[in-house]
Amino acid sequence: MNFEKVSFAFFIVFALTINFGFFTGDIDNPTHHHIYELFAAIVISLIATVIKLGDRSHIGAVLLATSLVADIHLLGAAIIWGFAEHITGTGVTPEIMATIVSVSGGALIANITSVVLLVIETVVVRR
Amino acid sequence: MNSLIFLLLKRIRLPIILLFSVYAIVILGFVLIPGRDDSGNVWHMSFFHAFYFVSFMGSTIGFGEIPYEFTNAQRMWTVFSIYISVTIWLYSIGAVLSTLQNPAFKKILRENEFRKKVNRIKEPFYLICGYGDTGKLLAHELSQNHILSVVVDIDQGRIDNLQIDEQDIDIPGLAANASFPQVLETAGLTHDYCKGVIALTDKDDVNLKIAITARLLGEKRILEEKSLMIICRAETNEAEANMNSFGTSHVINPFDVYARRLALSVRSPSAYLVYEWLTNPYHIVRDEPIHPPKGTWVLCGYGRFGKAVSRHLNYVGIKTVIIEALPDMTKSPEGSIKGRGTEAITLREAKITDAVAIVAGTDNDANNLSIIITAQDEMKRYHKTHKQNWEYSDKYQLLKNEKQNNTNNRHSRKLGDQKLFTIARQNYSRNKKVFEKAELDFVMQPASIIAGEILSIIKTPMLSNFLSLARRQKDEWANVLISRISSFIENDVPTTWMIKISQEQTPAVMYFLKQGTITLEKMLRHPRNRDISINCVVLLVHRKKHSNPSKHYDSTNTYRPNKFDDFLLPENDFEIHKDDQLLICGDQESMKLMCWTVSNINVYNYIHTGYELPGGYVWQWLYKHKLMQQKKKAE
Repeated sequence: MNFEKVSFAFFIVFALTINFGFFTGDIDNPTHHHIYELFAAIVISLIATVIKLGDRSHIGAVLLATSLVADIHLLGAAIIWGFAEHITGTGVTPEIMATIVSVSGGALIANITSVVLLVIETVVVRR
Repeated sequence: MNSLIFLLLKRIRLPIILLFSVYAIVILGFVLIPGRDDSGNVWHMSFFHAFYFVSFMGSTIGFGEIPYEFTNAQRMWTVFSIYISVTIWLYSIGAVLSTLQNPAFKKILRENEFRKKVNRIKEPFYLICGYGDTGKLLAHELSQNHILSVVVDIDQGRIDNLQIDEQDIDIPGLAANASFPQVLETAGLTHDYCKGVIALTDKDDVNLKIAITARLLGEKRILEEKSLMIICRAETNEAEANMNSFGTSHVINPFDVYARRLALSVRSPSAYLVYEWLTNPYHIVRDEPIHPPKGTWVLCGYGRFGKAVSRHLNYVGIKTVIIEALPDMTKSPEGSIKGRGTEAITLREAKITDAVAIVAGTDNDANNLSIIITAQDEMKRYHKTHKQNWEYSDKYQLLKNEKQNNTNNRHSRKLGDQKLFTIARQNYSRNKKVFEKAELDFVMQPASIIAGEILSIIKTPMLSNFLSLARRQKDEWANVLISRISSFIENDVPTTWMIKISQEQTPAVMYFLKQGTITLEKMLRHPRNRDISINCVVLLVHRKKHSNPSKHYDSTNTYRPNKFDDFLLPENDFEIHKDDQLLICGDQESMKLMCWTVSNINVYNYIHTGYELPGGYVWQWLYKHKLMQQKKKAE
C-alpha cells in the first residue's frame, strides 16, 4: 500500500461525493443546499487539483483537466452566491439557487469523469 | 520547458496543499464563530467576508476588524490564524525559492535557455567543443571575423567566462560533456545552419568521439551536399591516424604543425616568413626573415613536442642532442642525456657550449623558461672564462706551447658574440607576459597554432593548398614573393581572401567573360584609375579539370588533388575561366576595391574598356552609335 496512492484516490473520490452532497435536493430550494457543503466542495476540489499537479503521464494530464473544470464550476457557483448575497442584495432566491445548483452539476460531471478515469487507470495498472 | 514546470510543480505540491488547507480551516472558523453587529445582535460572518478578512490577514496587510468590531472569541481565532497562516506562507515561499535555487533546477533552466538560443540561430555557425586556451582564442577570432560559434565545455566556470570574454556578440555556451551525442545534438550538430564541428578538448579520445558522432549524425547532410566540416585537435599520431581514417576534414596536431614550420624556417627562412604572414594573425609582423643557425641543437624534453621537432629537424639535416628526464618512458634514442635540463650540469653534459640553439619543449612553462635562462647563463659564463684565459695568457706570454689552444679560444670568443638561438614551448596563454620578457627567438604556443590553422581553414580553405605547394618551392621563389608582398604592405598585416568566378560572386566579370577572354591583369586594375593596379598578388588559381565535369565534389571537405589544377603565382596574362577560384593576398583597402570591381558592372566596364558605361537607354543607344561610327572609321 502506498500512502501517495491512498491520498490521491481519497481526494478524487471525496471531491465527487461532497459535490454530490451539495447537488442533491430540489434544484430551486435553498434549504436543500447548504453553503458549508459548497465551501467544503471547493476546498476539496482545489486540494485534489494540486495533488494531480506534476504527473507527466497522459492520463495524469486528463485528470488534471477534469479537476480544473470542476474548480471553475464550483468557484463560479460560489461567486454567483456571493454576488446575490452581498452585491445585488436580493439574497438567494429560488431562481439564483437553481443557477448555483445547475452550475455545481457541471462540476459533478467533471468529478464523475475524474473518478471514472481513476478507476480505469487502476484497472489498467493492476498492481 | 515542460520538464521545468513539472519539476517546479512537484516540489511545491505539498506547500500549496498545506496553504489551501490552512485557509479552509481559518475561513471556516470565522464563519462558524458568532460575532455581534453594531446594534448587539448575533451575527455570523458570511464566506465572502471571511475570505476577504483572511486574505488580507494571512498576507499580513491587515485592514482591521470588518464589517463590525470583533468579539473576543473572534479575536482569539484571529491570533491563532495569524500565526498559522504566516508560518505557512513563509514555508511555501521558502520552498519555492529553494526549488529555484536547486542546482539541478538551475541546470535545466540554463540548458533550456541554451537550447532556445541555438534553435533561434539564423546564420551559419561553428560548434566549438572545448573552451580552453585554444577554444577561447578561436571563438574570439571567429567573432572578430563575424562568424558565429556555439561553445560546449565540461566546466561551468569556463562557460561563465565565455559571457565575460565575448561581450560584443552573444555566444551560446553549454556546460556539458561533449562526448555525449545528446549534448552535441542539443548544441546544434544537426542544426541546418551548422557549418562544422571543431573538437578542441585536451583529451584525444573525447575529440575522437566528437568526430565520430559528427560524422554519423551528419551523414544525412552529405547526401544533401551540405556536408559538415569536422576539425579535430590530436596530440598523438595514433589518434590522428584514427581520425583521418573515417573522413575527418582536418586533423591538427599542434606539435607536428609547429615542428614542420620550424623545419621550414631552417630550410628556407623566406618561405617561413611568407607562411607566417599568411597564417598567423597574432604575431607582430616581422619584416625580415629569421635565420635559425645550422649546427647542433639541444632539445630538452622528448615528449610529443620533442619527438616531432627532432624528427622534422633531422629531415632537414640538423643534429639534435636530447635531454630527457625519463628517457625510458619516452623511448628516447641512444645517446640521450638523462636530466631535466634546468640544471647547468645537465646542459654542460649535453655540450651546450658547442650547440647553436636550444629548444625547451617540456610541458612545464616554468621549467622551459628556466632551461632557456640557464643555457644562456652557461653560454655567457663559458665565454667569459675563456676570454679571461685568453687575456691572461696573452698578457703574461704564458703557455707558449699552447698556442693552438689560444687560437681555439679566439675562435670561441668570436662565437660568443653570436647568441644562442632560443625556442621555448609555452603551454598556457596566461604565461604570455613572462615569455615575452624572456626575448626568445621563437615561442611555440599550441593554442595560437591550432586557432590560426583552423581560422585559415574556415576563412580561406585554399590557403592550405597554397602553403603545401609553397613548401616545395625554393628559397629564391619565396624571396620574390616576399618582395612583391612587402612592396605594398607597410605596417599592415596582409590579408588573404578568395574569389570564385561565378554569377553570384563576380557578376560583372561573368558578363564580360561571355564576350571574350579576361586576363588577371585586367581584373587587378584600380577602379578609380585603370592605369595603376591595386595592391595585391594572386597567389593561387584553383581550377576544376574539365575531363570529368559530371562529378561534383565539395572541395572543402575532401581534398581530391586529381580533379583540380592549381596554378601557383599566375602571371599577369593568365586567362581566367568560369568557376576558377582565386586566392589573393593584399591589404584591406585592396580587398574592398576588388569586391567592388568584380560585382559592379559599371566599374568593371571602366577598368575593362576605359569607358564609363552609359546609364539610361538613351545614353546606351548613343554609346552604341558612337562605337559603330568608330568601327566604320577604323574600316
